[in-house]
Formats: sequence, structure tokens, C-alpha cells
Amino acid sequence: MLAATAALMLAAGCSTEPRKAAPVEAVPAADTVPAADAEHNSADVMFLQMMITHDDQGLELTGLAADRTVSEEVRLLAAAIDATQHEEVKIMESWLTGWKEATEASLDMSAHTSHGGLPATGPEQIEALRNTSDADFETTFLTLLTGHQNSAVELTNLARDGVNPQTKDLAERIKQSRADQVAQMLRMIGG
Amino acid sequence: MITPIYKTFKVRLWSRFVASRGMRKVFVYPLVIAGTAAAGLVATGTAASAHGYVSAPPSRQALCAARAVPDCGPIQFEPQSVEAPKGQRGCDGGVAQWSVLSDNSRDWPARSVGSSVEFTWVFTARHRTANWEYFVGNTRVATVDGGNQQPEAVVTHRVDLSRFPGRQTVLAVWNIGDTPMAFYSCVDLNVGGGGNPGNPPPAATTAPPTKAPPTTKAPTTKAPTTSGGTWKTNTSYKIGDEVTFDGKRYTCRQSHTSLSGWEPSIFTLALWLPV
Repeated sequence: MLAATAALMLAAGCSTEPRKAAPVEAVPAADTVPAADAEHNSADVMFLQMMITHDDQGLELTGLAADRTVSEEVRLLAAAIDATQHEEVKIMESWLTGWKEATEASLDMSAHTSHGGLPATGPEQIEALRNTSDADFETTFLTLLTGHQNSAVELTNLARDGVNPQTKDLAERIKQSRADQVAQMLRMIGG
Repeated sequence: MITPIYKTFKVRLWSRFVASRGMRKVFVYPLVIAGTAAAGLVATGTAASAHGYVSAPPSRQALCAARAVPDCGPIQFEPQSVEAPKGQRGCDGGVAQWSVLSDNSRDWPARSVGSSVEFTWVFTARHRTANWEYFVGNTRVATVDGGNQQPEAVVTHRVDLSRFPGRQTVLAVWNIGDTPMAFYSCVDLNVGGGGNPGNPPPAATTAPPTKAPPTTKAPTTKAPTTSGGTWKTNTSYKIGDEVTFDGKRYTCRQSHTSLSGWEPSIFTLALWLPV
């Protein structure tokens, strides 16, 4: 788990791509963002920073799916993941900003990973998906996103050492939702 | 805020790895070698930053993660974590924590396939790869060189299993290049038992499209998509559907199949708005 975390740390801070717009089906967002208690520690901050990066990488994948031909089932899942992760990023950034913490992972965290493995989703994988033929797109998309959400579940373990109740609540929701998304996608892949 | 130093670091880090490897499919010819050639390396205690498993045909851990086989324990949340020193031959890699994977009493469903099977891997971290190996029993039926490179975006291997008809458990092994570790996935197959895409899976089920029964509403309510009822998981909700959750009413604003963690709440306003 530590090793996986190290790999994710590499991912944190490496995303510079702009976030994709919300899918066409979404209506204008409500501006309500849940508040977080002031009490927090470095584990809360690290989890939120890395989760923002991780969500952003996932949004690059779902953004690509929005423009391609996929089954209705896959299109809806991608759109719902896209919408919810945009919302999560907004929430997590507001909490970090409220704590006067950076919304991106620091150099220090990323530097620890120079000896580690590479994360599931990086620029190469996103580029590979972009270049995938229509015939192979759906399988490639689902396979990449499954690994990506598998690693999101791992990432939520960081919040165990946190103290902020809203962060812990969000981490648990992320763990459950990503595990259930993986279940849906594995059924689509292997079905 | 990204500092210039950081940018330099990032570019240097990523440039170490070859960009734009495609998604070539590797075709493996049968390479039947009796016995195991792998050296019994001792773990140094350094865990590999690499995780992965076979997603299709579904490995045992994939079936657990998909909930097609229930009550697997923690593996359902981390199917990518069956990591152990190289040279293991059990479905659990010899790791007690994952022993459910080698419990044959769990009645693992076997996927009906043709005599040539394409295996697909999911990765959560992409470590340099020594090779991939496929075993039936103690017979190594295929090996694929990893070139000590990072795996491609999607890795698939076609393996000829025509010498092994019938019910088989294939052990797929991902041997890491720069650590003593490997990742293990067992895939239960009925070789030669079909394999056309129309074959229904033995156990996996897609999310049921069942909706909550509509509540009795005043006939003046015009929205035919309003499903009413209490929010449930594994339910297909459409824009405009209304549900009750935790005593409050919500309306769906993004069509989706519901899942745990996506309950209507302040965290999921992208899916559900309070009425």
C-alpha cells in the first residue's frame, strides 16, 4: 500500500492539463459547497491534494470518452463520473483554500517517488487513449479507467491518519463509489 | 503554484520513459515447458510500486471486485494487490491475506472460451516488467518478454490453450523487472467451450435496470420519468427522476446507474439536487 501511495505521489502535481468541461447532459451546477471544520492535519491535506490530482487525471479520461462513440451504458457512466469528480475537485479545493493550504501536491511529495513505479494514468496513457481506434476505444477506456479508480481506492487510505471529519467522510464516499464503479466497469469489460 | 524547479523535475522524470507506445497486441505462441524455471528469489522487504491483475477473461480477484463472487473480503477493494515474491504458483501468491483466491470451494465460475484466449491486464502502477508468464498447473504455456520496460497503456496477450481443453485454471504472472516481486491472477476457463462474444457470463450480472416502484402521485404530475420511491443502488436513474433519501427529496440531474458512495448528498449535487 505504501508503495502504491508512492506511485500516486508521483502522479500528484504532474497534471497540468486543463479540466474538461462538464458533459452536455449536466444542467448548470448549484454553487453550494459543503463546509469543512477548521481542524485538520497534514494527512488530510495530503489526501485532498493528491485526490485532486487523481480526479483531474480521471477527468482527462472521461473527457476523451465524451467525444467518442461508446455504448450508452459506458457513455452514461463516463458522464456521471465526469460530473461527480468535477464537483469533488471543487469541494476539495475549497477546503484546502479555506485552510490556506496549496491545492496541488508539493515538490517534496513528488520527489519521494523518483525511485518508485509509475502511476496507472499519466500523459502516455492519456495520449494512447486519444490515439486509440474507434473499434478499440471502449475497451481501452474501460481498462484504463478501471485501473485509475482502483488506485483511487488505494489513495483513500491516506485519509485514515487525518483528523478532519468531512475529509474522512468524503474519503469513505470516494472509496465506496470508486469500488462500485470498478465493479460496473469489470462487468462491462468481462461481461 | 508550480515552481520552475518543479517543472524541470517533472519533465526529467517523465522523459525517462518512452512516450507514445501504442497498443500493439502481443501474440504468444505456445511454449510448453514442463516444470518451473523461475528462481526462488527471496523478498528483500522492498515492496514493488506496481499493481495489476487480469481483467478479462475475469480473474478470481476481478470476479470479487465485480461482486460476481460475493464475500471475498478486502480483495474486492484492491484486486491489484496480489503481490508476492517471484516463483509462486498459487492463486493467492502464497499470501495468507488473499487465501480466498485459492479456495476452490468458492465455486469460481469458469468462462467459456475458444482454444486461443486473449488476456487483458489492468494496472494501477506501471513498473518495469521482466516478463509475463502463463501456467496451467506446473506447465508454463506461454511467456512474454517485458523488455524491462513500463507496460503499455493496455496490455493484452493471446495465448494458445488448445492443448488444455476443458475446465482449467490459468495462473497469469506479471514478473516485475526491478524488484523480486510478481503479481498473480488466476483465471478459470472452460477451454474449447465456446468463446463467442454472445456467450453469457456464468455469474457476472449487469446492473439490473429495475426501478423503484412509482409512488402514487397526483394524476396532475406530468413528469413521466419521475420514479419516486427510495434511492437504491444499482438502479438506472434518468434526468428528472425523483427519489427520497434520508428523509429528503431529490431530483436526478445526470442520468446514471446508482452506486454506493453516490447517495444523494451535498457531495453529489452533480447527480442529485434537493427538491
